[in-house]
Amino acid sequence: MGRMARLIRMDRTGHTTVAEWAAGDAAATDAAAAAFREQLDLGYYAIVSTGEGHAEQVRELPLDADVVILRLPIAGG
Amino acid sequence: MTAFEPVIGLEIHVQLSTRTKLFCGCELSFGEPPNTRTCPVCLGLPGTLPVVNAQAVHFGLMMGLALGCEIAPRSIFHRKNYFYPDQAKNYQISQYDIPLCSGGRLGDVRLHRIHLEEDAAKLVHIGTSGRIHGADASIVDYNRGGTPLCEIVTEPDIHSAEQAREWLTLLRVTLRQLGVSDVNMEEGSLRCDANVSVRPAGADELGTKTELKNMNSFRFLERGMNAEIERQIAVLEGGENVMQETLHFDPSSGRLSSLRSKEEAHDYRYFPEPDLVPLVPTGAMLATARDALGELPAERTARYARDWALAEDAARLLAYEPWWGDYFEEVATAAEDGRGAANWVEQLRARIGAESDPAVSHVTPLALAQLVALVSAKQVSAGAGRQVLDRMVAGGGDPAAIVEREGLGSMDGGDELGRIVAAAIAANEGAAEKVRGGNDKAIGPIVGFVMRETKGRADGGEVGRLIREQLGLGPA
Repeated sequence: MGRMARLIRMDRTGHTTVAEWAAGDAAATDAAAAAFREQLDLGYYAIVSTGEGHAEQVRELPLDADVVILRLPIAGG
Repeated sequence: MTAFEPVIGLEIHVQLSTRTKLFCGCELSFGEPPNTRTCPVCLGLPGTLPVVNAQAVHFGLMMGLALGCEIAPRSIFHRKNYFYPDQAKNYQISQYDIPLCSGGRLGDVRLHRIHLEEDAAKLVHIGTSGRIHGADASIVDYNRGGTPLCEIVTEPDIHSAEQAREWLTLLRVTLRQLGVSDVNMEEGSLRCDANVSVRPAGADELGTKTELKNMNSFRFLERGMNAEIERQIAVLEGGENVMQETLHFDPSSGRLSSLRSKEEAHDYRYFPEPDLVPLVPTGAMLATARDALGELPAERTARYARDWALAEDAARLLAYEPWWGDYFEEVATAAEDGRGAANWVEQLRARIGAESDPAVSHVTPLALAQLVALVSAKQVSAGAGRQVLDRMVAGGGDPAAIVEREGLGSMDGGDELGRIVAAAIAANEGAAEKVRGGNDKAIGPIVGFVMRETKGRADGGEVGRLIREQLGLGPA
């Protein structure tokens, strides 16, 4: 099994690992995809790095990414 | 000599009444010890990321909708770069080419834009002047850094310092009624810069403008603008050119001093804030903001003039202070007399103070409406009505009962009043002679005598009629 990929949520509490998965682990990827959708439904948006200093927004969990970052576009009061 | 026309545009910073700062969860500071309301985000420490405050956006949308602006379907934040200790990051997160709101209007002044931005930290200059020049040291309090602001920029539609003050008053009451800010100039939650230029009257081209910074009261604002208008006219009449610069107005000396040459936008090297996503107001956000607006002071002023036949000044007085407006409407409805109600509400306001809430005074709207009706029916004179109101302010009560208890009912034009009028004429022969000679204004001392003798119970109109009758004159 390869290196674990991580779905990380960044908010005012710091950062939290929401899910981890590895290619070939069907149960873990299914759980990560479900967690990903759940976070998007909560209003988070997801980004992955596309190289040094570059990132793009993703709307499906990219299973080949190393790290997927979740952030809120707007929050608090 | 050439006549000059001032041209003024305002830039107003409004501190929003959110609980937390614009891009982090730090609570806003209201006099807490310095540097205790800070976090890695508002201090700009490496690795931190800002998130836009939802309530600040809501307030920005409310302002935009209330002022008839076009709301950008997608606006973005920029970094405004400058080096100064009041920004730990060395840039301010602001909006630049795509602000949250564009256009709009309040009263007779068009708006250019409204955008969101964070406040800078507060610098305190230690020394006798309180200013950086001559200070022994400067210390910085980052509590204020990151506080949410809306910057409102007007078009150059203002042509006198007085108009600027009046318009700013309307803006202030509008924002206060929206509940988006405390709008307190003295405490810095409403700050105003003015771009001032002058041009020959009738010219289309704008003159070179100067910027008057941070005037912290309506009075200073007006004085500062007038001083700058006079200065620019003197410069032009002297054959010289006005230089674009930023000026400070010292209210104690009335002098203007140059702070620095004015920067251009390109000096700030604006670039899009890469740590924030575009701001895209949803339909639900817009609907929520729209639902929160309520009736605004300008609309209420127009309604009072239309529905209750109030003069504009009286309508504005009540509409600009909604707690008085609400109270007035109850009195006017109960009395079925808008002008009478406005008159007596103004008298109550003068007695308990404009900032007081009449709803918690001793004078209920229904009781004041009864007083309005008593005076209107001439059962109580205006003078005696004022005495009744004094009693009501002191301890509440039913006006009719107060009138009865204190014998304040109107005197009719019978024998008793006739005798008092005769005594008043006898005691003021000089005045009586002048009235006989055609000087109507000389009647004052005679009327005053009667009012004193009757303790204000006599009807002023009836007293005037009797005086003229006894002096052998016809109706005025």
